[in-house]
Amino acid sequence: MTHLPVLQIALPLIAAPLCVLLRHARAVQIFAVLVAWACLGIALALLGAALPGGAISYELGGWPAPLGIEYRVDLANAFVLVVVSALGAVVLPIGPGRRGHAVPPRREYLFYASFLLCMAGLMGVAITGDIFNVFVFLEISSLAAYTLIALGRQRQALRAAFSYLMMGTIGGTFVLIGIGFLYQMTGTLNMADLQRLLPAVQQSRSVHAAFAFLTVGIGIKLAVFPLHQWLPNAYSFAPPAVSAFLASTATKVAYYLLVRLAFGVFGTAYVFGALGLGALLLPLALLAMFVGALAAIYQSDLKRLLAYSSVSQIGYMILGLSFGTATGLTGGLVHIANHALTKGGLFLAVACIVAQTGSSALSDLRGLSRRMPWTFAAIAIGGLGLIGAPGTAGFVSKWYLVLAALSAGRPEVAFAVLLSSLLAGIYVWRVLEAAWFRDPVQSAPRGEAPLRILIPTWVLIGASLYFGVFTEWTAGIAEAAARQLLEGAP
Amino acid sequence: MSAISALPPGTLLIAGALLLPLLRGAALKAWLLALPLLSFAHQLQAPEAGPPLQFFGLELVLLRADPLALAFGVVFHLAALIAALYALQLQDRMQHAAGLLYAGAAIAALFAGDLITLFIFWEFTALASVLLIWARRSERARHAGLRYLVVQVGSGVLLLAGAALHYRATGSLAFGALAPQSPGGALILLAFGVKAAFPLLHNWLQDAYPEATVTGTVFLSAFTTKLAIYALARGFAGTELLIPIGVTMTFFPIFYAVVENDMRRVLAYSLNNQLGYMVVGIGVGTPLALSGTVAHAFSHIIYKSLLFMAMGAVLLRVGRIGASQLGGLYRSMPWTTAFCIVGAVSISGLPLFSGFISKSLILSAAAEQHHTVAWAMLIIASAGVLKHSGIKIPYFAFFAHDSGLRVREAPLPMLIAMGAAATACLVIGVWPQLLYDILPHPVNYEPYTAAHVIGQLQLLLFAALAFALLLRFRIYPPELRATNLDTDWLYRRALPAAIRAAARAQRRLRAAAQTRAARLGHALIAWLRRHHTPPGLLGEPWSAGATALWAALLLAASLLLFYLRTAAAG
Amino acid sequence: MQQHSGNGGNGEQGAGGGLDSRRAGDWAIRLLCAACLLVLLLDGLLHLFHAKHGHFAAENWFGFYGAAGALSICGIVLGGRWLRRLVMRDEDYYERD
Repeated sequence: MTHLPVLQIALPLIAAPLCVLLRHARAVQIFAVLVAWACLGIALALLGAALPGGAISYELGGWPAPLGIEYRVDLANAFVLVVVSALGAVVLPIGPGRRGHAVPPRREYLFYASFLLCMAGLMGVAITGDIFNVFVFLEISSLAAYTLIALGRQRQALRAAFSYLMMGTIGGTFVLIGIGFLYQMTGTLNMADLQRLLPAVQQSRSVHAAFAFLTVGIGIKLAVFPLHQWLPNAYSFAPPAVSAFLASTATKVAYYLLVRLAFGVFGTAYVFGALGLGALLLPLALLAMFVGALAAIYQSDLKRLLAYSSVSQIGYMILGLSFGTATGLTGGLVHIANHALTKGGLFLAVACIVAQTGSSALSDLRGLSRRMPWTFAAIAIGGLGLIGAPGTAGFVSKWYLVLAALSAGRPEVAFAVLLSSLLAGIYVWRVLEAAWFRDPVQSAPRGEAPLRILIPTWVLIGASLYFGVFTEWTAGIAEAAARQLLEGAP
Repeated sequence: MSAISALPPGTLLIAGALLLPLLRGAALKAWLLALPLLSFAHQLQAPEAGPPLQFFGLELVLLRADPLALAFGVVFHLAALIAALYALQLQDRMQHAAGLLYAGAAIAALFAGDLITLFIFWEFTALASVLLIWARRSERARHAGLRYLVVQVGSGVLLLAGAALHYRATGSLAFGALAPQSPGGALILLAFGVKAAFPLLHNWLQDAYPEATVTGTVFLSAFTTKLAIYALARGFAGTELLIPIGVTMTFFPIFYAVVENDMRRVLAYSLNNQLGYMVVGIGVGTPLALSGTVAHAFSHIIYKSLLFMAMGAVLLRVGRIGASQLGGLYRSMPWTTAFCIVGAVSISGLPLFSGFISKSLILSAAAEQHHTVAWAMLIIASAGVLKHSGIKIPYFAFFAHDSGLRVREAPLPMLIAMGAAATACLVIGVWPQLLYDILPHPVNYEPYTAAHVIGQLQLLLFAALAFALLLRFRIYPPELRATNLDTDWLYRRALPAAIRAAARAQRRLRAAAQTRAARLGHALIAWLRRHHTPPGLLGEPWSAGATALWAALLLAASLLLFYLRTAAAG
Repeated sequence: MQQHSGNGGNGEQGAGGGLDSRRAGDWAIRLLCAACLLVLLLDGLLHLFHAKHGHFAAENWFGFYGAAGALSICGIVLGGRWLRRLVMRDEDYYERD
């Protein structure tokens, strides 16, 4: 069992080409789902091993750390690994979507292969302790994501994927430049080593520049305002399963990476004390919260609405980070899981709607709640989660954010969080109003979505309700992870 | 069993409501009536305090059954039972479920030992109750329900914000006496005040209750505002500020009740006026005053739902409820008339009926503490109560002039429900000790002294005579179909008008765009309006180039920031 | 099924026997006058036996509550007339435009 860390990455990485070799649609599906579930099992085992508080270090190929590549699992990234693999395990079974899809069944293997690659990349970013390795995995996940988005059935999907590719590449380049600066200054790529060596050179402008490049580069992947422009198109034109998976994991992993670099590698005192990153992030976070929510209010398509809501929710996570305190970071980290469940569930509910109607335009949702009560019950609960209503997971995150804002002596920020919740209420209301209070259109479908999609939807929505009340596995771990990071775990 | 006893009473109603979709026919009806009884049994065996619950680092007390909560619990259960009976013949499962959920949440909120639990059930009552308005399924009801929901949820948000500030200041979330001077306490008081319909915060009540369904209004009249009264009694007993607030509340709705035509809206104003007595009682804050508040809430819930039930039956049978459109109904609805009169004399405080023995506790407490002005105002308001609820409601609906309406008597379950409520009014009025025994503070008060009875009779009879003479000599304003402005005008008219004015100003600005300054202002407004809609700047993705530009700008900004910070530090 | 009634103006239904007729109204006023006199009498008796101990001196005045009730109603009704001039609008005030 000592090889669990490498298995976590190697399994999907090797399974992806196997999918291409297998080709047969059904067989590939079963195989990929099994792999995704195995990944979840491994991630849970790793989390169990990391719970006591230490870090599990794994040296790839037996090469010791500063030279070889180290995989390092502590609470924070075990938590992220579980979120990513769990979302993968739940979302993957619904497949690329059937109705009027551009991917013919004989090429469905491409979907599963890319999906597994994307998972491998995202988990790799989380697990590795080597900063160049981070870049490699980031690019693997991004390339796989471009492919997945391009599988969308509308022609715009291709354009969305291309523009994501362009912006992602800019981000990747920034990250690479940042890593280059770091290597130039310290001669090492290992994060633990960097943490040890950086204080000696941290006054140099190269290190400032390295951090600036890394922040902005990751900011693009994270879709932090105003670098969020790739996100709405990418999420709204991708196949539903892809939207659900990417929306709930890709930006979260980038967030984790930023947290890891800021708190672990560069150090809290340096980043928030000397550089004053909080002063940069706080206004961006507030802007993201409001601009995202306002834009979501004006959208006419449910997928785009949810995408802009993601921009707003990412603002919350950045806000938690910007305080540089344990409570704020707890709020940000716990929002990784809570938002992943909520938004994943909502995008899956959209998949339910698309499977039945072929459209996700708000005008086509009219009166649908009567035809698809379960789907819209899920949307209602997920929507309450986005607002942050008590009893849902979203409340837990907002609670920590408000606490963090208050204990940082910024009641006006706490007020802003509440105010943006009201805006969330408006865009959620628009959806519910259309679905509940309008009369159905003639062409409305007769029945509920297939169980194949409905069950995963309710798994995520149910989990978001569960974690809204029982928080030891989300907030508890996030709190411990935040403490670990603030104490300086690399 | 122990697991159930750890849960607050009321949760049984919530859980039971979830079973409704499975039941039909007689089983459904039996279940609707059995649930309040079961839930009441649950309350009877509730321990004094449930085990604390850990909720991410906070200690929550779901169950705290002290005499104050228990007393309100008794009357909430009674109201739930009566309302369920009244709604029994209804074919609308959604309304049944909403009513039970609403009652359950309100009862559970009574037993909340901390502010977070209170907040959760507080919002739950808002969400469940709005369904009773929307169940009317009319455009008007939908809009009124939405306005109601915004106010109610807003009150919850205030409560949560207040709880957070309170927690920060004191480190405790326990729901006990709160300090109205502290910012947290002030916010919580405001939250309670919204729900208790304080003056200027009151209008959601008159706006929404008359728009709910026939049976929904009966539920609504019982729980939301009395939950707020309970919360005020627990948190702010003895806060002097509440006395002027309460007096104002008893006073201004009277005038509105004179001119309002919609009978259920008259009752809503009267409800507001009755709340005023309770708020005064809380403000006085002596044990007698608090017991009086609880007693008055108790009898008020019963006679107010009785009046709403009677008017609901009229609305159901006649189809309209304006005073000017009714009259002479005593011929076709004799039972409803009789029950309505019982409710009317109860609310007026006629000796032998419930209002008499509860209101006098509050008046005595105010007199004992020498709140002379408040006492005098409450006496005047008592005459007003007689006028708007005691006389206006039964007189214009059932007597006045014969409108020629010949309808059927109310359905049997409704009659039974009204009969039960009327009986309760009478029983409490004749044997007040039954009610006094469950009050939070022991009451040593004898309402039936000769002086008291004669004084009250004098007040009521002379007031009735004055009313009759004013009516006879046509000084009393005639009933007219009309809309009477209240504070809802601010958000239904003034706000939209201000927005329109802003739009007009923008148009004028555009017209005046010759000067550079005006052109700039115009561009700014246009940009603000445009930039969030889909073809706009922030509503639509930009090209990769724009992102690159932003990335570069952000990079430059962060580099600048880092250099400046470190240069300043170095 | 039910004909639409007129508005509140036509209170005079002739001398018909119902409880909503004008004659019943006049009878009600007479009854009320009698009842008022009766309670005033009782109030006087209380005075004779010094059985009143109100918290305020005014409570012990003869006929205090009766005067308070009658004057309050007049004040409230006149206040209502004045309020109506201030706040009354057409029935469809909020529905328009």
